[in-house]
Amino acid sequence: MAKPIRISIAGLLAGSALTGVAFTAQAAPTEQQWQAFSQAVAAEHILPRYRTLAESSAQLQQQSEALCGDSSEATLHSTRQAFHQTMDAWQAIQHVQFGPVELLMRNFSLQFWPDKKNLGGKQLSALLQNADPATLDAEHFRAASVAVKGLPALERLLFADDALAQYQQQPFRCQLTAAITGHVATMSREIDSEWQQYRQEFEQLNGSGYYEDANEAATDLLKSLVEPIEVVRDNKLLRPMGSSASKPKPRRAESWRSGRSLRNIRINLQTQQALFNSGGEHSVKALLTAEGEAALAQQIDDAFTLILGQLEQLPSPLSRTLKDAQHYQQLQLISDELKALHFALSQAMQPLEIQLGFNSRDGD
Amino acid sequence: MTGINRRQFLTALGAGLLLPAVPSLAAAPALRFASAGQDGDNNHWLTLFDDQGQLLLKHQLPGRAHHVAAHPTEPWLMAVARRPDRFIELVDYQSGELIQRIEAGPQRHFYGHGIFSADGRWLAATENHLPSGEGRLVIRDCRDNFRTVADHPSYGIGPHELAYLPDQRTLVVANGGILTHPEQGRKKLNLDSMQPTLAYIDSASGRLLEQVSMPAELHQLSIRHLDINRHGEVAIALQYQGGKQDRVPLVALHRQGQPLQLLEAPEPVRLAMRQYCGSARFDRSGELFAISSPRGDLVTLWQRDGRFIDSFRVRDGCGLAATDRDGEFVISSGNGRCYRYDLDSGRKQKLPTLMSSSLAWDNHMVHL
Repeated sequence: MAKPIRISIAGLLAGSALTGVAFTAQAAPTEQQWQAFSQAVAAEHILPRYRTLAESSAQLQQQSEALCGDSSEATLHSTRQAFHQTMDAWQAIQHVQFGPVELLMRNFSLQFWPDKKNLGGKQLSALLQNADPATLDAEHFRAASVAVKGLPALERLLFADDALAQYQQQPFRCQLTAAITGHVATMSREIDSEWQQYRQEFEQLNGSGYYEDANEAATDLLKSLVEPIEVVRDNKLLRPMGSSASKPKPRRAESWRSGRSLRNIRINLQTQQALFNSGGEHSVKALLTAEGEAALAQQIDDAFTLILGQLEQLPSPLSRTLKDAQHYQQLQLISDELKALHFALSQAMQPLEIQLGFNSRDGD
Repeated sequence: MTGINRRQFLTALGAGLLLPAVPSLAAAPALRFASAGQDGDNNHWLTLFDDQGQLLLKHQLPGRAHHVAAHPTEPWLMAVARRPDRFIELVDYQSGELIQRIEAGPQRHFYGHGIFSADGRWLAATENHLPSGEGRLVIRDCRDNFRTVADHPSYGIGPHELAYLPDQRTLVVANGGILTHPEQGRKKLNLDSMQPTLAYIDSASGRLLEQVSMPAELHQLSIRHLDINRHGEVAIALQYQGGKQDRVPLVALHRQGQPLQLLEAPEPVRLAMRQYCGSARFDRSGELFAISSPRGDLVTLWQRDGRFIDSFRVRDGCGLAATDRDGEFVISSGNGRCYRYDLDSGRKQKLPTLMSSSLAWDNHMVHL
């Protein structure tokens, strides 16, 4: 399994070395092309994903309220299932870090992670200990720390070892769970509805709106394509892998409590591949192809497919996968492939004449 | 809301103070700016260009530079290597010739910032002394082949930007507090114990005249970039090394003999600054200053008493230069663009692009 991917990564690098030639031969995409790209991605890729998040989080809120009405195996199970649906939806739009999700720190509020200082654990314990009904008030909650009002806090509550017994013994624990789901649902609904407005920024690109021109608008979307590959590799793979196979750090994995760390990574990469292809004839893949970089475009697409195939073969949960020497080696391979994929995507920005950020990414 | 603040500020100053220094813009000579930049093939350049988009100098540098300064009397530009590089490049921008490539001494590297004294005699730069990790403030003689004439401590770790007080004798140094070592690249080695300071140092004797530190709970707030107006007030751009969710100030002011003044922006603006400011510059009048926040694509404007005036958006904007008009700045961006912003209209205007070369402008820019 490893070998064909190695070849493909080598191909990626060879392909990107050719960009210099094509760069001078082809003009970069026009403003019209970038505008078509941006509008297509907003309509096909972003809006439906926020809608799914809003719907699944509303469902989660309902389920958690049912759980508080009658804390049983069945209601806990349904709430956990609804949590998984919401987390699936969030993982499929987590890569967008601009626009309404950035307002009021919603991105951090939805998921404060990685939580290196265990703020979530400490603050949640304090809330549970005080059991003050005032903290459940929506307005009060809005001002609360980001560490206790999103998905990681919910996961701690819903996936605790003795979650059911605790819910049965401490009604406040369930009320807090419901309050957090309410907040997650509100934020998701607000983002969804604000994007109806924000999408217009991709239509008015004459300098009077938020973006100065179509290239600048497209840059936000392309950042969402390229940068998350590095984030997934660094935070979701390398951090839990620790310094060596003998010292893995399974509790550094994202969503380890609900045992879905690998599922998150798979959704992330499926999402990035979908974004790469989003817009059909207006997609990044199509634009690259039009720049004379068809081979590079295809190799990037293939690399996504190959890495996803490899991830599929790894047993879950990641916390156990990490402890198996052979699997650990496979994770290392995937990490190398993600690095090459990130490099290839960064290189692909050159023929497109997109500057993802210079001072913002590497200042001093 | 911010627009009202801007108008209030203009009214408060009264008519006249912010009138253009040059009555007719049409008749004004082109403004010239210098900046370092990087091209698509990772080559680094020192450039001089004007507000009409004319490229007047394009000189290849041996590596990535950071700050650029113009000599007050000679037609010289200098570009200072970004850490952990070891060169200062001095170029005659009229002839295009390299005047000198100053190498940092053994066991030394530069930190990206160097300045000329107002009389043009001295070149002062911040350096790292590798064996000790201590910051140094090194002064070279421009009239004597850039010979080192003084090698003072900077009284802190990781000194960054520096500037002279109006007395032209006292140097104010931003000790960022962050320890790095070239063997470990740009890795930050002491985030738990870092202690940034602002040091006032007598350039002749090297004596420490005054030093202010961050309060203990803000010790991860790196003091990195500064500018000084004619009143000797120091505007400071901060960079936070702690958590993204922490609510910390990102701009400060200091006056000698007083405590550090941490400034407050409206919360949405503070959030938009993304815990990182890249450059600080007073306008020509010294009555207001601009702070760039490239990670948030934002520039904020502040009164010299510390009150927030306004903010505006510049994608990846970092380099700031005052123009010859009060209340006006030019901003350079990492995507190769330049904008002129004037407080009077509250508008930013894109300057003509350099047609032949698209460079990502590095963090700092200077107006000649």
